[in-house]
Amino acid sequence: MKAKHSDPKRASSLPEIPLPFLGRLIHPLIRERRSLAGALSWMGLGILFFFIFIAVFAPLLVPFSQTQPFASPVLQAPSLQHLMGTDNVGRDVLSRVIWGARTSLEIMAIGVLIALAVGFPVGLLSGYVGGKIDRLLVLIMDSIYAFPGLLLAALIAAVIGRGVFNIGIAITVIYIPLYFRVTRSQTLSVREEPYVEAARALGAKSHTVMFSYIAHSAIIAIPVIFSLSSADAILTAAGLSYLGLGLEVDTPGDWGRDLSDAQSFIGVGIWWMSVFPGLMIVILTVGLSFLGEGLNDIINPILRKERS
Amino acid sequence: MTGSASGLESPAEDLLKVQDLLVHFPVKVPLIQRLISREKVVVHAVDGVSFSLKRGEILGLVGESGCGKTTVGRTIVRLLEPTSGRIIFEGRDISHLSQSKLRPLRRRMQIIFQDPHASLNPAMTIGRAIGHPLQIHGIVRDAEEVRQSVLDIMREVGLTPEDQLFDKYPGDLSGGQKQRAVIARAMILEPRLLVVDEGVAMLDMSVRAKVLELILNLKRRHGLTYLFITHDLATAKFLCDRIAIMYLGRVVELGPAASIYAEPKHPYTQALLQVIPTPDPDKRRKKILPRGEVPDAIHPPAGCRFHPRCQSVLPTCGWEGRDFIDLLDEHLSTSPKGVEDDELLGSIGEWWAEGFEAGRKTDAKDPKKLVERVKEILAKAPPAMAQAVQSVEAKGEFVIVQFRTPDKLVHTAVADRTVECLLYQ
Repeated sequence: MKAKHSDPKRASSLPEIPLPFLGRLIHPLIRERRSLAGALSWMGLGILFFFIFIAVFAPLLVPFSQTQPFASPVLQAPSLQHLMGTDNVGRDVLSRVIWGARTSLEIMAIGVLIALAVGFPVGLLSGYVGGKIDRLLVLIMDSIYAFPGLLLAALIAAVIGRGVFNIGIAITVIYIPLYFRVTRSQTLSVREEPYVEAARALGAKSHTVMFSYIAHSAIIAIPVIFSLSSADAILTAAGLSYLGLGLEVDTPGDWGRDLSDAQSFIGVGIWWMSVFPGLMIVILTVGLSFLGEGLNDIINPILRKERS
Repeated sequence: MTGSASGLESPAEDLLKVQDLLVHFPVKVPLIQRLISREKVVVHAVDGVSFSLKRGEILGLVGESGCGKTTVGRTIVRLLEPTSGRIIFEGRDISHLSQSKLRPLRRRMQIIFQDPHASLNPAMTIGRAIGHPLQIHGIVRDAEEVRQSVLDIMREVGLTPEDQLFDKYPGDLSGGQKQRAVIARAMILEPRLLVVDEGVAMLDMSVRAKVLELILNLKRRHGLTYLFITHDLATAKFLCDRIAIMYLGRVVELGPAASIYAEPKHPYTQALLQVIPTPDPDKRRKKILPRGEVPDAIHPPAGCRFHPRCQSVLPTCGWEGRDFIDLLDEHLSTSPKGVEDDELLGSIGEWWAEGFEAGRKTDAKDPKKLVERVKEILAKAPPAMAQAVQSVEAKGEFVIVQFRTPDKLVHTAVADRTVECLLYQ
């Protein structure tokens, strides 16, 4: 049965991954793992997956499944029973932090995925079609982009109300122009490539050209934007909650709101109520930023090479 | 559908006919400049090209870079829209057909670009890229059938081992393999006309020979008709039945390849053929190369476009004001008696040229002296140019050099070909 082994020459050139997009991303990530950019990316990925793990298994991980107030003594310092202490209404801070990971990631996923789902195709269309449609879309997107993000999200949140999904929507609006701009500029540079013209000469319709020939190349810039906007989305969501525009009061965990609640206790030496949720926000956003910056340093040379 | 299909098969009919094709590209001019001058700035990429292609023929379109040959090719397959003129493919005028109406026709006319690497989507496997045209046109829908057709065509163009290369990405292939893949992608639609735009220019000599061999084989097997666009005369000589020589947007000579190579008529063709390297060192002749460089296509020369560089130029070929400025410029920069000329002729920037006139505002009290000096300079110019000058006169405060209007240039039948040159009119 040894004959069935693929010959060593084929094995040494990295395995062929059927999805070209993932292949184009994962191969350089593996190759660059020892460089600074590679290390940052892997570190960021690690942090992200750590939080995803916590979010997914939150019900199993929380030491106190209750979220009702006054179930425990109030304002306990961290101890073996309450590793991160308890807050002013007697809730276990660790449990709230764990549930908070879930809500944060939910909001992030809703916000960023919808932004991607809208911004990417619209950017593709705008860049490919050009002309008046392009100019109009750029104008709309730029006016949204010019608005301060948190302010815009606060405005929308105030109008459509609280809740994880609504906050996700409010955040989406901030990031659509980002995905739009990046995709559009990629499309513009790919549009003139001979293989796009060749596709037209083959008789491909516009949407075939866009999705089979341009999208493949345009999507490579997305992971960077995806990570960076995710980091930003976490901050914005926390900011909204901090301002009291975020989630319902009975949400089992909400980092931004917890920070806001803890504010008045910092002065009297009750540090655990603010430090732990704040630390989570910092770690997750820093991790996502690492991932974004690392990917950026890895992907840009690939882009440049593909261009030449 | 049936009516046109039955009419297509008569072999005597030309597969493709191009009549007075004009392709002009507008040049982007800043808004303010556009408001001031109403003159439309256009690049005369293709400026009146006519030829026809018989079924099963290989026509070479040969010329220097920038002569518009690529634009002709891209316009024929309607990647560009002609400014005017007609393109008749299989008896049907396609010059202004909409892209949606063109789509079914694209099955029968395909184009191959110069750079095989850039012509393939880097994110698409070879097998998928070659099979995609079948899906685009909805010819074959079943995935297994597509795969079989792709493997067949890969074998035919020599892209083997085909089942291994099927899942490779363009980056994994050599230049020759990529060009074969591009040819396979075009051939899978079984086109009648294949425009090959510098299709072998980027390949090594050894690979090039094989790809040319493939092109000939495909022609024989499928009765293909080629428009072969190249700057390489040796390749064109090897491959083509007939050749059209292009210069600055016009076809200057068109005829059977063999006789053009044996006895070129147009002075440009003669000059071009001299640059083919001769393998035998004893047979090397002295080369008479055209002077200067290809003029820009925004303001092409009047009359025959080759006249400023032509060795056998006549006074009636289209000398104009600009040519005098060029002469003066050369005189000012090379003449040793610079000081006297400085006073008399001034700097080159003070001269203007418009159409068949060139002139300068003079502040000298005695413009006669300047007129005399200009005449002296013209006496040293090429004789054809000097003879084309109608008058050098002082008119008021201007000194004006007036050229004669050129004779009209027409395509003339000479022996077995057409030539566009006053020598044969």
